[in-house]
Amino acid sequence: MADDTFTWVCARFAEVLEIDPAEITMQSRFADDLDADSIDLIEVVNKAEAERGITIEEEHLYDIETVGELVALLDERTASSAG
Amino acid sequence: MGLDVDDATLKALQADNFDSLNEVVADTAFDRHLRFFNFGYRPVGDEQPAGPRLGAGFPNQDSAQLLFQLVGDADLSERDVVEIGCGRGGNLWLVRRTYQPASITGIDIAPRSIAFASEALPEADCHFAVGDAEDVPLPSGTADVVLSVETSCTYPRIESFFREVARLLRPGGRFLYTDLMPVELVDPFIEALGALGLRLDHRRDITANVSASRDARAARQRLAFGDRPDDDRSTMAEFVGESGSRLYDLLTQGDYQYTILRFTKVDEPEPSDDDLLSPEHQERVRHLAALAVELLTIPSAATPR
Repeated sequence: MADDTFTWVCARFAEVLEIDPAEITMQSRFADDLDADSIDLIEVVNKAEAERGITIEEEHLYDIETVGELVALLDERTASSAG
Repeated sequence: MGLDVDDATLKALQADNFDSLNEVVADTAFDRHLRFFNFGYRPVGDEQPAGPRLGAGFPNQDSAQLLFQLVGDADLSERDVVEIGCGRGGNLWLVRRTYQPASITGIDIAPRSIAFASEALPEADCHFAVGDAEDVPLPSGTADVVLSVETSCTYPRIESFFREVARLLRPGGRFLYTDLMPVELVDPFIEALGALGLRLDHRRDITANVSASRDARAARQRLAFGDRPDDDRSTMAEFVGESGSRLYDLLTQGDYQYTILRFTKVDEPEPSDDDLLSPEHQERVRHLAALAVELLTIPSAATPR
């Protein structure tokens, strides 16, 4: 599931940030590597919530630094809402 | 708009303005994340940020940094913290998350801001109420710390607010105060608070830091308000302090100073009705409050009063 989620996250950030998705890795840091701010991150998380029918608590979102951490959070929320 | 309306009307209009801003934000995808309505602080040069490191997903990082800079070395743990003009409760939320206070209490004149804060912080140690900063609906001696962040410039009779701060504080309590202030009023404000028993501990001009925050973030933050009618554009630029706005000009052109002031309540002087500010300075305060009402009225949301 992480692979699919990673591909989805890359595609969304590529749209929002207008960059090549190939530039994004699991280790990419939002602020330092991608120049993404909280507005970008919230935009992508809102899309994930709408498409997957999940809810991300704000407090979880606020600690995120890397793409890998966001992928893990989305997978965890998707699994718990499916279960 | 001008000085020809009474103070109660100015305050009611200011409440309307911030209620309208809440409505604007409620229409966006950022509503639940947007807790701060202030300009923020950005370290400049090789200055290191204060406070805990926040993740990239943390919204309004510059507003968080303004709070951390304001708190400085003040101890908030196990303290009863009151914020006057708390808006949507962002500062108190962050105080609670960072400093483990005994309780947080927020007062704001805009009912929709208080509704947001109450819903975001329903816990038993969190209290929010609609109220006037110049006539605060709290008992005397209930605060160890009073916070005031970028709100006093909208108060038409600021010395009433200063009296309320002194009334709310317990002996030894701290007043942590930051705002955009007319340069010639910073000393009179400190003297007025001194006459109320508050000793100045720390004073810092952070105009360059707040300007740096606006240069870096204002245009981006305005986008978070979503697509607004053209008529609203200049007002939304005022709310975020974007380059080209009147408030940005005030901040950057030298007549105003964004100042951090920290006080300790060291004395309880006999109550007195003597004016704490000269008539000229009081007029200047009122002029600024009226200007703020004018600049922050959202045209598409304005209702005749």
